[in-house]
Amino acid sequence: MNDIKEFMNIYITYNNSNIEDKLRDVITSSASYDDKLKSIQQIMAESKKELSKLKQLISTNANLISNAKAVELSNKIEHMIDSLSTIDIDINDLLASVTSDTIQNLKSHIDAYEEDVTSLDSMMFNSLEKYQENLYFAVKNGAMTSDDLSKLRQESGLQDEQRDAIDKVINQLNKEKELTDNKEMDLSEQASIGDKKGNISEDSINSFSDVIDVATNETVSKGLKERLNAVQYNQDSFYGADIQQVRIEYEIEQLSKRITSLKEKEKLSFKEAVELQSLVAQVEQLNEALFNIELNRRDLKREEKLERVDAKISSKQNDILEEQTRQANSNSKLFRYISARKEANLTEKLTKLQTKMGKIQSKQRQSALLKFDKQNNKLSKKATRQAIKRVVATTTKDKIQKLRDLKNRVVEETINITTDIKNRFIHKKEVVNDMQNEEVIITGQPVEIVIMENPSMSMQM
Amino acid sequence: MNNTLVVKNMDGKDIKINVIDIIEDTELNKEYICYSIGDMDNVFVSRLVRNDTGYQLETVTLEEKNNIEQVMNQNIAGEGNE
Repeated sequence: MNDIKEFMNIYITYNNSNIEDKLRDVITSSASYDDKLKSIQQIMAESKKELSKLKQLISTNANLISNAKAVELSNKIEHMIDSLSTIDIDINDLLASVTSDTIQNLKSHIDAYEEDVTSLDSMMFNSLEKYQENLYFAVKNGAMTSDDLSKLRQESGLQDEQRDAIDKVINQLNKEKELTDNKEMDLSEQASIGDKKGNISEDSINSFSDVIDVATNETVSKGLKERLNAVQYNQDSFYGADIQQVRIEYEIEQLSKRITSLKEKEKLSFKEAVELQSLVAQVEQLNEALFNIELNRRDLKREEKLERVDAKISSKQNDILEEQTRQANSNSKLFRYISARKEANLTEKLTKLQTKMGKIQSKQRQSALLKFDKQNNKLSKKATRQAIKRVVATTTKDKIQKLRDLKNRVVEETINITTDIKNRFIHKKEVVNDMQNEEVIITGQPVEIVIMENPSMSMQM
Repeated sequence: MNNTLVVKNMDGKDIKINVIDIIEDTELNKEYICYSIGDMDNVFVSRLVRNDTGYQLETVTLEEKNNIEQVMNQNIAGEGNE
């Protein structure tokens, strides 16, 4: 017990020492560098000393807390000692050359160290819970009595955290004592009945008082440390159904605390969610075990057991209904969520399709316009060509017709002229015979005429 | 029929011409003589005018020349067609 006290006192003293505040005060003070150096080194030395003592105590009392926890605490303290050394080195740098970088560096080290202290504080708190648990089981197994606890609580030098822990243990024990008294009464009634039947010595289940007596007799002559160790190792073998019930109730309480703390968080990580589910399942199992223990209790009458069974069934039915309701709500929420997601997805797809369709339609329109333009140009050219052909054909036809008409007119005219010439001019070659005997004189200039070799051709042309 | 005629030119010299045709324009009441001179192939036309002593070969106008030229060619064509 003295070791535990010493451990807690050192921890609490260390925890209240506020080394980081002291360091900050020294660094920001107006003292000379030499004085600062001395003060800081002194703080460091004291802190290291306290930490070393704490580490030593943890290693020697590892059985009071779990081994894993002891190792973890030792490592943390080791890390903190290293941090102090680093801070020490940085302070030397600071004193050698004061720059904003070195001050910043020092501050960051101090901040890191402060984080370590907070972390250690949390771990120590867990140790405090373990301490409380050990005290509880020490009393339950007779290694300590309730009076010892009360005396311990009144001792000077204890911190509030220790007193709270002891109060909790005393309260828990008082509650259990009331229950135990009732049960002892029932057991003594049963014992008197058993005596009448003559089979009490064959009862395989020891009463709670028997367990306490045996434990007290076995451990009263040992020191506190040995007694606590004995409790730690042998507590399971001492427990009867009542102690098991108390233990289960205690475990349920601890698990419920963790469940409550997890549920109060705004957002759970995956690991925490899994832990929460696991804890709920554990609590359910423990409740089941508790229920079974209650059913096996001899002090309960058949009607009470039936009542408890009924209550359990009703509770289960309520749980099922609640679960169904929750599931329905959850399903409804899930359905709404899925519907909303589907709708959003469909809307997104529709928008994409519409955009795609718009692009395709635009391309199709362009393509159609190009095709139309091409066809239009082709048709236009064709129409132009046909029009030209028609005009040319018409023109040619007209020309041919005109030429034919002209030719006909020419022919007709030629015929007319020929006719006219035939009618007008008369060949009188025989006159030459008359002229043979007459005097012929050329008085004018003869005019040459051109006689064509083939005049019919010229006529046709 | 002898087509050869001896005519006097404006110098008083006799020249021999070969008469090819003598044509009368019934509208103008004029006669024309077509002839070649000597051995030449060229054909000439002159207006044939009868007077108290004989005949005179006078110069034709361009219209007259064209008319006679057309008649002569038509006549040759007619002969060809025949």
